[in-house]
Amino acid sequence: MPKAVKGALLQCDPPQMAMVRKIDRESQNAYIIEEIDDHTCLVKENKVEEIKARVKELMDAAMGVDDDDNDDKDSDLD
Amino acid sequence: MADTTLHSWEYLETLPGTQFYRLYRSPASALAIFRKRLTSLAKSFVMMLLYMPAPLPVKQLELLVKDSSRGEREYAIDLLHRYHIFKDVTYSGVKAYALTPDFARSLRRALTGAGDTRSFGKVATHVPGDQKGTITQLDEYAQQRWEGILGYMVGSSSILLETPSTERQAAMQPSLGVIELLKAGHLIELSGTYSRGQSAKITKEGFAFVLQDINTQIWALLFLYVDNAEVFEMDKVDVLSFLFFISSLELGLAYSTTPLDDTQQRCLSDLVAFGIVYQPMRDDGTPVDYFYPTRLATTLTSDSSTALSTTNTTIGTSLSTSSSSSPTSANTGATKGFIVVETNYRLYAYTSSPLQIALLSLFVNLRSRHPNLVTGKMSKSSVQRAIRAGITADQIISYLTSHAHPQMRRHAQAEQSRNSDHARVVPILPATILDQIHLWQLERDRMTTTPGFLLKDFPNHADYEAPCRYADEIGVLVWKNDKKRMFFVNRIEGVRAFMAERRANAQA
Repeated sequence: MPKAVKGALLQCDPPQMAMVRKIDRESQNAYIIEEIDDHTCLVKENKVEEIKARVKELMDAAMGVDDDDNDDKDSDLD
Repeated sequence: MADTTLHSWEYLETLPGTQFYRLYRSPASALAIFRKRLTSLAKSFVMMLLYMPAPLPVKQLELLVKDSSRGEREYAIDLLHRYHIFKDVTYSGVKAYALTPDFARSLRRALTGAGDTRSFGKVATHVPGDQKGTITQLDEYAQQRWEGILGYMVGSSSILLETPSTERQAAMQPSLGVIELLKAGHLIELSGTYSRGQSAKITKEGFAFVLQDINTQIWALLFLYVDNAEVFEMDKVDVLSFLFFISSLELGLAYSTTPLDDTQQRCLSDLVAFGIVYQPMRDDGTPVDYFYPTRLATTLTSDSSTALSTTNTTIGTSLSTSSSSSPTSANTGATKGFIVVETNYRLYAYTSSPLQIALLSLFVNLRSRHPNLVTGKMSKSSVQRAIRAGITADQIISYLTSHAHPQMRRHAQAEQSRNSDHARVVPILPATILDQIHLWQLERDRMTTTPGFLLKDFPNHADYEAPCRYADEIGVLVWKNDKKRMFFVNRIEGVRAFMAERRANAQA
């Protein structure tokens, strides 16, 4: 018997999915309804913004804060 | 019909059927929905059924469309159901489609011009000759009002705009009602206190809003208005049908306000603030008893792209050249683009409009400003700043493309004709720029989410395949995985009905 589950489909690349899973594990499965594969999973619709923000936070921490400060300095030489 | 992600129209689809039936009682509304929201195929279906005395059996309707176009057919029928234009009936033992009676009656009236004068307005006959508004005046008026609203949203947020145009900005300040509405729609946020003067700050949604084309913007604002109508003790359906009524009027004619009821009178005064209608004032400050629809109104429900682009160019004119107040520049190359983008991300914009400069500064590091030219450079950080603010790469690209300088267009055309492969379209912007903007966005935004429903646990492949293909045909399929027999849709109603029917057929 087919089933329909309400939620939001989250699509991203495998590294980000790893982060999503990590966050989900650490907060007692507050976000993910169903893990599908390395690119997709179903998350609770009302938690979408929250998980996005948390992944972004984790990413910024992992990649170091804005290292492209020099980017804005425009010179005639480049 | 290009679906330009009009959230606003989807809002309309959420209204319950009974509201639709009330809406369809007015011929103007039926005609507006018919023109604006239906695909060509859906229109053909409606026209076919309009004067038919009996419902059309489903089987016969299916015969009318080639098998290769099943997708379009399913989409059209789904659309007609969503707008409560088609209903399923059983006619002499077989399933058949019929038009909902209110819609059919109204559309027939609209086409034949029957019904009372209230359906398409009463032309005012007593306008003094010397006070007749010309189309140019109306365009100018609409443009000023609309530019005022956009300028208010953008100008207030921008760092660049302290100096040159404070006076003009103040002169075009939108009315309080409009500001309230922008705030209600979270397009701007107000900070500060009443006593010390408030300052507006544009939001993510606001950014996305200002980069849209004019028709989309107006509808977005109008649907906000409709959504908030109940706050002002007006009925949603009444307001909607009045909007559709306004949109069916003819440009350059004056219409009498006498047949309008209270709600409509109130709406009218609000529409004046948007620049959608123009109502001259008497000397004592009260409005006269006639009004003119402006170009913004008359193209609201237009489905022809030429009419829409006329609005964009006539109203958008001053947005792209220096300003409406200097007549020389308004005439020269008025509707032409003004942005040159080089392959090294440098950007030159031949404009001195504060609105345009503010828009550009959203995603460009502006470097120097000259009397009719600003220069700047796009960088990873400037584009990502815009993306963080909620602007998408596609919005940036479409903005740059639609405002590209004629020289860039010529260049792209020349490239195209030199190209042996005619199927490949040479983009107006340099390809490296297009790719890089997308890459910058990807780097920032690697995750997408779509609300909807996941369908899973199909017992066998055939049971999975059919609804999945159906979902694809009606355009609701977002993602599927054949191996796991799962798929994801953003709307479930159609698929659910399809699956129920399939099950019923299997049991019979």
